Amino acid sequence: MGRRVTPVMLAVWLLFEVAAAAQTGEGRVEVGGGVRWLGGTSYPRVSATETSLANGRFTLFDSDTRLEPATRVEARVGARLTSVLQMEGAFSYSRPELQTRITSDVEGISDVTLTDRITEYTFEGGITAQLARWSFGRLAPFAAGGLGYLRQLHDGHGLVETGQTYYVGGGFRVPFSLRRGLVKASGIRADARAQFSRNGVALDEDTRIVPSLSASFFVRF
Amino acid sequence: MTVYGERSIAARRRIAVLLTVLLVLLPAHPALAYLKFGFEIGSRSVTARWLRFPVRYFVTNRGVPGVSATDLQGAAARAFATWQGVPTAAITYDFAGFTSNQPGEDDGRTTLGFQSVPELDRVLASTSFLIDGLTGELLEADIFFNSAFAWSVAAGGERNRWDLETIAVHEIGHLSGLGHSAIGETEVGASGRRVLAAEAVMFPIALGTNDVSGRLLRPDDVAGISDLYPDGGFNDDTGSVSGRITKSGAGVFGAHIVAFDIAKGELVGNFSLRADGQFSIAGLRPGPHAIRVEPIDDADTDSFFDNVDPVDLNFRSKYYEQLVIVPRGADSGAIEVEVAGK
Repeated sequence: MGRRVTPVMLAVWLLFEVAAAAQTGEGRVEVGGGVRWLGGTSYPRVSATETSLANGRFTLFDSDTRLEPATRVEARVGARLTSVLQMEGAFSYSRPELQTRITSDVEGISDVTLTDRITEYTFEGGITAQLARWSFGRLAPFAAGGLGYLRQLHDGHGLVETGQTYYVGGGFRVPFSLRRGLVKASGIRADARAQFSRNGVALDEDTRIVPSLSASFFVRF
Repeated sequence: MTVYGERSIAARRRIAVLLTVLLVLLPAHPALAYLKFGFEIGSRSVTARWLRFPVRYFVTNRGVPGVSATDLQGAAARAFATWQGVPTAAITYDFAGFTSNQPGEDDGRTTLGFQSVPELDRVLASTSFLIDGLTGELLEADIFFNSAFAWSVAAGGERNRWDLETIAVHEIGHLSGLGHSAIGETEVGASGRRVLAAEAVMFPIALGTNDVSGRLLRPDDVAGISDLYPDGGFNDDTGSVSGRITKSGAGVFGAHIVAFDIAKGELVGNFSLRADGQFSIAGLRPGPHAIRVEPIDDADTDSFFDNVDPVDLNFRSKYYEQLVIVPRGADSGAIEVEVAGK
């Protein structure tokens, strides 16, 4: 019969690991903030159609909708679990634009692009793992993965859409030598992610993937 | 959604008003209104609707070649069930029995049946109403199917015959209080206007013989019947778009406005129903919509309006410049679409 890890055992292990991390002198808590660029995503074409004889379809016009790339402002807090692992949570805010291009109108109306400004909040939690083997000078690479909650408000805030996000990726930290008072370390951090999202303002329930790049500043206490 | 003021009705107690709506091959006959029938009584607006349920109906005990009275009753029952099956609408119907009375008789009985009216050579069927002119309550509604045409109740339709269930679904929409929808496309050729397509059972022109697609309600029909008899979470779960259509700063009467759901592709329409160009489209799924405005060019205006202000047909179709966000259980907030003359 195999051994099972209970939540209590896991909590005790985490406590020991956090305590151990605190003794390394590099700081136990990391606070950071910066910007994150998120690529745009396209949704499947939706056509306005009517029923014709023999159940055929008569197209009035086509619509192609896209969520444009956006820059998020991001705040992050993390806690070191071990010398390798760090647990972190992040909040971000952005204002992407939803664009719908109407084309091929049956009555010859010129093509037009209709827009809606979205206010987007995300709350994410994840893990980073230091990849010490690939360290290069002061550059400390890491791998990252996590998931989150997506909250998107349409223009006027009359309608709220919610969804899920997931990400995997990696990046690096470049710590400065600054070490003053409570501050154990500080530096800059950059990462690249494959960002998955589902629902929210999406026109269907498919999971979509977009690239994501970030640059931020961090301080460790 | 209501056209008011078509008929002047004195505010006396319980005045019976007789109205007739026709489903035609070509739109050559007047109908009353779009989506919901309405009246102006003095300064008060009244919507025509049933207030007592189930709506009890009779079927005449006469058939026509190829369609027995029992076939007629079966097709009518399926058509009534189609409307009753809308989960967001509360209207119910009940078959009360066969009758030897004719539809159109002022007998207090809602009756469906065949009648031969060969002089109405473009009219497949017609619905007439008896309405309480004070409250707007529908008291009686009769449907006649013109036996001058060939009819069918075959499951998949029948060549050169009109599908009785399809036409019954349209007429029962009228019987329930709905006017015509303009979500359809036609073209005018040498032999007159021909319907190309429609996305509303309540479009005023029938698609053709052997067509059974009209047995199924479309989003526009569902929005209409649900707006008239809201049930379930209709008012909480759907939203509306409202605003004005203007041209050179003045209101446009009779513009056709269609809300297109960019996620689902659903079309729901209405008209600007006041001289100041105001419109409202209810029963929309929450989310972004594209709004398209056009003059009525796919049927005669009297298929939709009766004895009202002149309908403005002199403007170019256009889209509202932004996506309109329909909230859940509320209105988008008024938008203004400025159209330009042709």
